[in-house]
Amino acid sequence: MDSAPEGLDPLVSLLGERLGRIGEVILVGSGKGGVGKSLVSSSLALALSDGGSRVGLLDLDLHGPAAARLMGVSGPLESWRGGVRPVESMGVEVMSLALAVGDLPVPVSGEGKGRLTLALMALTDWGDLDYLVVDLPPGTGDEVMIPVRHVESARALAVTTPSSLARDAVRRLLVLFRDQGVDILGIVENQAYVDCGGEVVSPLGRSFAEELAAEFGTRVLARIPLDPAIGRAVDEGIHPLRRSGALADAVGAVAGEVLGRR
Amino acid sequence: MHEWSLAQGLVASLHSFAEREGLRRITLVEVSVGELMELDVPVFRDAFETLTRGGPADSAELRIVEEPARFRCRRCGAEWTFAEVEEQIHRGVPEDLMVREPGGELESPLHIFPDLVPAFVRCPRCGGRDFEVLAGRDMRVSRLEGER
Repeated sequence: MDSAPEGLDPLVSLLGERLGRIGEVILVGSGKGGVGKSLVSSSLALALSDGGSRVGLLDLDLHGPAAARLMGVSGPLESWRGGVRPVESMGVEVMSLALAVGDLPVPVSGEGKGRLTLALMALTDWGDLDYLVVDLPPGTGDEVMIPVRHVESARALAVTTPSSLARDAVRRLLVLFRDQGVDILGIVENQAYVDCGGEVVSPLGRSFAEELAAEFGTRVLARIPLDPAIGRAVDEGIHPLRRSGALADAVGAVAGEVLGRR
Repeated sequence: MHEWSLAQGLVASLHSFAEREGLRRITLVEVSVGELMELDVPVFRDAFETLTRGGPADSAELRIVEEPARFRCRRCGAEWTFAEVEEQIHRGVPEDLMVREPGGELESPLHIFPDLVPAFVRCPRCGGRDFEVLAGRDMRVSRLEGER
């Protein structure tokens, strides 16, 4: 036998070895930007960790990483023979390109973007984890397709807001998940309502979360209110889960679903 | 230092390939390595030799072929080589972003993530960051020889 083999990629094989030490991968996506994916994914990672699980948080938003800031971690990274070490914060192992580039822009596109996504997934040495929560960027590009392609039995959470624009984008992502065989855990509606002294109002508009859930045979797992404590916590460098009881309650319900269905 | 994890991925892919193709032994592995990776070849060879022991690629010849890196600016059309931006690659990374190795040495994040190059390197002609890596970015298995 003598050949130039097709489909033989050391990074893909390395990723397979890493995934063998991770109990479950949970993809948190939306399709839409600015709906709170990083808030939900980092809060879920913290809630699972608080419950005693070994948890990693991987930020795959290459162009606008936010998870590192929310988790209060910064570079530089450390490497060793096993790969690149994630940075621990509040019990959660965090990896994000923000740790490698700081505030610099990352104008990668095309093949480079796919290879960078794969490298970030394959070269991070998570060790043994119960859960790896993956914060996906908006859209359905390489950063979404690489984990969908290479992580068998991943489960997904879709984050939306009360808006027909968000509904359309989330629906596209859910169609993709469904067609690629990704199990949809449920839908989280962020910025869902405001509690004005007992009166619940929805300033962003009508909710489409239940309609989406029904269409894709899943459930709305939580509705997170607009809570000024969330924004204040971010500005103060404190994770919002530690400051907003409403967020903690909502994410607690999501974590319960994750734990219950494993 | 992450050469060990790259070798781990390579060896895992060889094992899968040997099993899939029914190979008893792999005798030659030729790997094309992008110049941008700045692979530490002795460390990679050492890792490969250690990690292949006892498996189908045990004692296989490892041939490493470096692929020169080439770049093309999408804004002004300039093309350049690794040597023309080597100074940027080695000195353009702020010290607080240099990756720490166990012995305290520092290495560029580009050594681990070569595709991050537009974050740290700019076109030598126009200074833009919108450029293509035409060649020499990553590692590929370019040739295998074995016995059934």
